[in-house]
Amino acid sequence: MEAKKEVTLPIEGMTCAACATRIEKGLKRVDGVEDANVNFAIEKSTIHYNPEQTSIEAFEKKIEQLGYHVQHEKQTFDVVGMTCAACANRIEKRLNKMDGVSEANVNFALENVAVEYNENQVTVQDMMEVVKKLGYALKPQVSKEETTNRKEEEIRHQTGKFIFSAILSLPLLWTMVTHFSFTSFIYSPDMLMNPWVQLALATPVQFIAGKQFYVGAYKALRNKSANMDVLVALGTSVAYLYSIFLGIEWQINGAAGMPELYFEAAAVIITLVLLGKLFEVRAKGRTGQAIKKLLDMQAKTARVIRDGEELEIAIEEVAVGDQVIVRPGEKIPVDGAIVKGKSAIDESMITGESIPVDKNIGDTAIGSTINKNGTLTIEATKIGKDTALAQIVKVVEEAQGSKADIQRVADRVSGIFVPVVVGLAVVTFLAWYIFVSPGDLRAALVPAITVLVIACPCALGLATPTSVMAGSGRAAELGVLFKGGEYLENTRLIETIVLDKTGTVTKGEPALTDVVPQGDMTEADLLKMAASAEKHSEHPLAEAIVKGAEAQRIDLIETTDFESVPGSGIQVTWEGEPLYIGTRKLMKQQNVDIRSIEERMTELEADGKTAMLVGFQGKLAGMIAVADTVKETSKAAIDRLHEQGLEVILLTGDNERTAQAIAKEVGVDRVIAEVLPDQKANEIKRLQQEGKKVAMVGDGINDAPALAIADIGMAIGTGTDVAIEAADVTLMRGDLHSVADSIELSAKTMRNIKQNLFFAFAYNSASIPIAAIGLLAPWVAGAAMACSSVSVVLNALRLQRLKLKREA
Amino acid sequence: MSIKKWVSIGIIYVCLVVIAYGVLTGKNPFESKDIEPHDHAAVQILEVKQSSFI
Repeated sequence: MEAKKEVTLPIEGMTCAACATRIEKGLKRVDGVEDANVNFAIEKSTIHYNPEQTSIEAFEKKIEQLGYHVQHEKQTFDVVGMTCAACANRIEKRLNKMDGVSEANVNFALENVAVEYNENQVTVQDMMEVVKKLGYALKPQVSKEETTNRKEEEIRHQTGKFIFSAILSLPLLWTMVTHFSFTSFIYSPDMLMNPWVQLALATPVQFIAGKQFYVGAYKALRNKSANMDVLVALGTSVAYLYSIFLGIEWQINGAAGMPELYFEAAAVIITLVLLGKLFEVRAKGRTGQAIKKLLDMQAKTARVIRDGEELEIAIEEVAVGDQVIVRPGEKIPVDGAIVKGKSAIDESMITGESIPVDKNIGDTAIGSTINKNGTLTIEATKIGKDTALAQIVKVVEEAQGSKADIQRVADRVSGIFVPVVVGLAVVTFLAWYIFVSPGDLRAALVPAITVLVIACPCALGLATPTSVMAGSGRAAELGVLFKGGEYLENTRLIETIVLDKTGTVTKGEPALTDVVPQGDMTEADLLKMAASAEKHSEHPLAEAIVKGAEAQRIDLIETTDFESVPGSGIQVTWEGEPLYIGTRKLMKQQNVDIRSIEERMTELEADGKTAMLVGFQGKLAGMIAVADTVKETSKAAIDRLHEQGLEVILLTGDNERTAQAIAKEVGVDRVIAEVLPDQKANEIKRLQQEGKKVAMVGDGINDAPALAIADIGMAIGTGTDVAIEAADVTLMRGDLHSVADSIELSAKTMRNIKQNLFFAFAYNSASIPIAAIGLLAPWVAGAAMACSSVSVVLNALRLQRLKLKREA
Repeated sequence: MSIKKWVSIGIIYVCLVVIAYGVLTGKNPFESKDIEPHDHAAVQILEVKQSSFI
């Protein structure tokens, strides 16, 4: 049986959360669909389905049936190698056969092909690969800017429509403003009081600017559901048609006096709702800016060496194994290993860490980071969708597209809100018409229209997704990747943080800690001797000694006759005499007396350090110790976790004494030591059985089961060495402050969501009764509705400027 | 359609309505007669005073 598949489809034409709910329901009814999730804010639908039972084409068909449209990427490629129309045909046929390609048109004369495709099913690389196999080459003409252009076009269109609507509504609003006793001194031409002039001004607003509401309402009603368009269309149409009726009545009665018309209410409502929509489109674009920023970080071209020549090629054409040259100040185009040169690299865009990192030959370089001061040659190891940046973009996109639990509740509420509101409007009308002002159609219609308009649930549909988008985007900028909305929501509920020791609290690599000289030796002499000897060794402990000496600016000298003594240490020739570095056993074999240092050695070993003895000329020259050291930021970060009210536990496979020494240094509350890697998950389970919500923080490689079983699994690492897939939350910065950051981000995002839901609910719930008793004019309802959407989106955008306590 | 076009169409349309009003009614479109003020509050107070409640 084929495994379950997931696809994300971009959808056009949704106007409110009710549309999203309708598409979701429709998709769930398709045979073979296990789950469907539609996010109104980012206009995308994620579908989990069984490919044996259904296909993406079926989803697209269903979405079209419901009155919406699946958006496809469009890309034009130059085609190299075509010699006749048959070639064009062949390429066209092959591309059209590919899954995910909806249309491919080859233009032989222009030597290009325009492809419309679903980027989730097929990538540019896939298409290039397929065409390459046919014997031709595809070269992308333009980058992925079409989507941005489309958004800009939408903003332009909405702005134009709003201004057009405002120009026509202003004279109507003018008549209304001069209507009150305290404003009657304002000049108002008689012409504007004429019902037919008002009709002439209101009609284009109603049917040209307001067309989108009728189209949206028609689509919704055709599918036996209702959305905000239904409310706006219904409310404004009633006001408009009733005003026409009053105008005819006025004309029949000799055109005497001034009829009380509602053209201005209909026009102003449409104008204000359009203004709200305009703000919404603009702000929605901004909430997704994190992804845009991430994509913009990518280099567009790379300078590679091919056949000994330096060529500048498009980033899509770089292959694994290519040697890429990066000059100072340039972006590193792909993930790779440095094969030549050294430099400092600014990795802040990936890890959030502002200080550039020194890199040397053999170190990894992350694509999209900036090479600061030296020319580097990098061998590409990961390209396209495998790069760290591509994976980060994927995680952030998924998080932004996923739903927090709180959103599901909001969706359910907004799904039933519209029919309930229509019901309330009818009840309001009947109550006024029968009881309050019997037989007075005008008195009954106005509050009913106001109820319809004020209760639009568009703010409700925006409340959660905009916050999740802005929150997860800001988190990504700070080096914290939440895999889904639910993790962004639940991380704040954690009570206990379990920290893996190696690589999490400590650096995970040995460093020089103690130099203990004996006899006439000084520390510097002993270190020079040991580091010079170990320079030829590739052992991690030897590297730690050499790095320690280099850090103290000790000049190393050449030694000869390097020999490794397996399991015991090394031997070299130093100034013509043998020099030994290694264990007690090695010293014993060489008859070196170590009694003077034995006690100190035992002490160091008890602290978890590895001590190495240095013997020269048959005597003990001293002892060097190395150990995994605590990260500089660990203690401050753990203090911060305590301030957040969390219990911090250290979990390690090391012996109790080493673990306690580290625990004391960083200040954790409890230590669970001597736990084998496969038992870590059991320890997490045990803590959960104590009724605690547990987060496990580890490197994501050897503690994957523990990360999986914890309520929240957090993988910590820098750049490419972190297993993003293994965890619910990935901490790219590599220091424990990110754990506290993630909790703070989660708490602040949730607070933002709750504020948004309050704004959305408060406007609707508080205003409905006020509108029903006739205390609210319809145009005020339109303004309130626009305000509610705008305030929700603006509040969510505050998250983009969120400052964490650490930064403060 | 560009923003400029929307704005131009809006302004031209309003101008046409004004001109059409002047042509069809023969009146000055910008004339403002001293019409009866629509002071709802004053009217309501008057109604209450005239009612049998006082």
